[in-house]
Amino acid sequence: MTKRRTKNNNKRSFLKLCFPLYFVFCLFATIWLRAAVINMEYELGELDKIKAELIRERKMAVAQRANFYSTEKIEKVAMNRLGMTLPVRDNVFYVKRTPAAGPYKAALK
Amino acid sequence: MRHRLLKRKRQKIDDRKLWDEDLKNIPLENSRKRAVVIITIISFGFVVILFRLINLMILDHEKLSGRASQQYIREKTLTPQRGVIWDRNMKEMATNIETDSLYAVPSNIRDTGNLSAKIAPIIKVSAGEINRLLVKKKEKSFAWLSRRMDMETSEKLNVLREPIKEGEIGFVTEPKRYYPKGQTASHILGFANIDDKGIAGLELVYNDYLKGEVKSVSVGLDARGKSLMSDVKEAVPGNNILLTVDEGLQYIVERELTNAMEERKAKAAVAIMMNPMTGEILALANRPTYDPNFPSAADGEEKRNRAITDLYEPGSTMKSILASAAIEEKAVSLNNMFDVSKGSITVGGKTIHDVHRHGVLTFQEIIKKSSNVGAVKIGMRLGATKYYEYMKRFGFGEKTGIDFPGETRGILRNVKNWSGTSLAAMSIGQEIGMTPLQMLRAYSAIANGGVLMKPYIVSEIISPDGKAIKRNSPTEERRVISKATAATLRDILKTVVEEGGTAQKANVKGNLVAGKTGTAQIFDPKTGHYSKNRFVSSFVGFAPADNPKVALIVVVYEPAGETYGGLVAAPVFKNIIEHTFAYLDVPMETEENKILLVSRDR
Repeated sequence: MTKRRTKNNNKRSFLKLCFPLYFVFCLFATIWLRAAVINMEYELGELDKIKAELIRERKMAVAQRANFYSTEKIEKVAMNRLGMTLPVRDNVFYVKRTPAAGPYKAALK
Repeated sequence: MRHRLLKRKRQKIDDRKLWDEDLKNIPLENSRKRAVVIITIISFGFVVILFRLINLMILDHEKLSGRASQQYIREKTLTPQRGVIWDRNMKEMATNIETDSLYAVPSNIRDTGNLSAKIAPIIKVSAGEINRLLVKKKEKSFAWLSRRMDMETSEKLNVLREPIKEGEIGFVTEPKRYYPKGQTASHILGFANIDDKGIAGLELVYNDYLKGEVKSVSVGLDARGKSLMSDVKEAVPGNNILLTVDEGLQYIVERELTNAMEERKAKAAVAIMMNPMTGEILALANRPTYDPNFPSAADGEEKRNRAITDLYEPGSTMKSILASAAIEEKAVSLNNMFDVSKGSITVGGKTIHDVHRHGVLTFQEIIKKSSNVGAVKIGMRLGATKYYEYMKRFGFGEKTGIDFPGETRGILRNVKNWSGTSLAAMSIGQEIGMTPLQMLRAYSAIANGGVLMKPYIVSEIISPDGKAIKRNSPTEERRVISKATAATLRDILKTVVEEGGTAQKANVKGNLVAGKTGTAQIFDPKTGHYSKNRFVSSFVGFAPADNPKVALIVVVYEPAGETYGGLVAAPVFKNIIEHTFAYLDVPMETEENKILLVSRDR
């Protein structure tokens, strides 16, 4: 009889001790989660900045590419640096395909 | 001994029993009371906390969360990206870049003079001016110092770490309009101002499509102003525009026009290239010109789009219109002969002269040799009313309707208001004002078989997600002459560039060209007479003549030295067409061009 009572008493004491511990655990878990979220927001804020910077660089690259590929620039480079000239239509031949076409023989007619 | 030990053991057992019984019998009232009190106090404490939590989290939730938001959430306005303008081959003609704009926080600045002295040489504004601005706005927390700076300048400013750290100055990223092709197509594109609003050209006409939608973004900031995650919404960018213009052709036209201006020391020049079948504008150039990246550096003359805003008297190019009307109305036939040997004709008290004396000319030769006397005689046969009707039909005296700002309708007086000399004058292209685009459109009608097409320069407006929200397609305004008449005119205009014609310098090797020269005196309003030394030289035509790919007009205003259209404008036309055909891979038509036949050797 005494043993059973003691056993019950011990159980109740254990539960009474667990309850506040559990409560404290929940509290810390909530605070930890909140801190983790804030931390993630900071990281996302940093990533936003990096993304904005990359977008900026990309726009600049697109603009520079458009500038490099302008006909005026290409002509200047071709003429001044590569020694090329404007095309002369006399030197252009248009090839006519025959039904049995094949690049084995060429004849001027 | 053993008896004593047993007795002691029994006593202990008895004592223990007695103890157990005592425990049963001792009253628990005091302990219970104490426990109840303690539990009550603790419970009460928890209840109070619970009520406070309910009060804070439920009852006062809105008020407190609003106050908290005010402290760490800021609303930031995002400037939308302006839409891109592409040429017909999707090459960027107008785009956007991100630039830094510098602002000051005058209320934070301790020594305005020192800061001004540091910033002035970098942003190229006088230190005194900056200092005055900062002193004037001393109580304010924001003042612009320089907007949309280039990268080099903003990098130099970044070196001033202390003022930035102290919160005296700061940077804001703003989009800036950028035209990567420089001067090319400047009059077509126009430009946008510092607030990204279209001011001229297509930037103005299509501003509502190009500008995006301003959006607000919620940005979270901590106590030190460091940003947390922002709302993912972004500003809605503007719609994009696809032009009918070809950047390569545009450059060819601009280059030749620049060469002509330098060679002829002219005051101005215009060239417009159009697809006569569809009305698409392939190129449009004016000289003088400007760089839309630096619009403030250009004056009004450089920004003027003479192609559609300036009127000129077309001179002999009008004879083709007269001839079309005469053929269509059967007022003349190709075999009719006209005696122009006198070299002049007097109508209504006004004497009109031929530049060169001719004998008896056929109708065709009158156009080929550009005889003024012959043209007046044709005009008299046609009659004023009919001639006026055809000029209206060809679109003179009305706007073309091109999607461009500032177009003028031109001057074509109603036939009721014509004087005794008007028919003669208009037969040789005087007493009428038109834009180069109007003349080109009229010749395009001859080129395409007699249909007046509406010119347009924007092909599509495309939303940011790639959908076409507006599309322009070829529009036939009306038929002005029959196909047969158009074919006859084409044949006549081919002779103009042949030997004996006035435009031999417009002849393009390997392809047939049809066109007409014009050399018009400029009317001087001060004297009330036509000037003897100020001319407008022009050539308008199309090629290949029998299957036209392009129609082109070149107008050169007040060239020095030679003034004839055949000597000034025609060579420009030839150069542009030759390079255009090389660019577009248009083969030569004549038999001189050898065709390389390739066959397999079996």
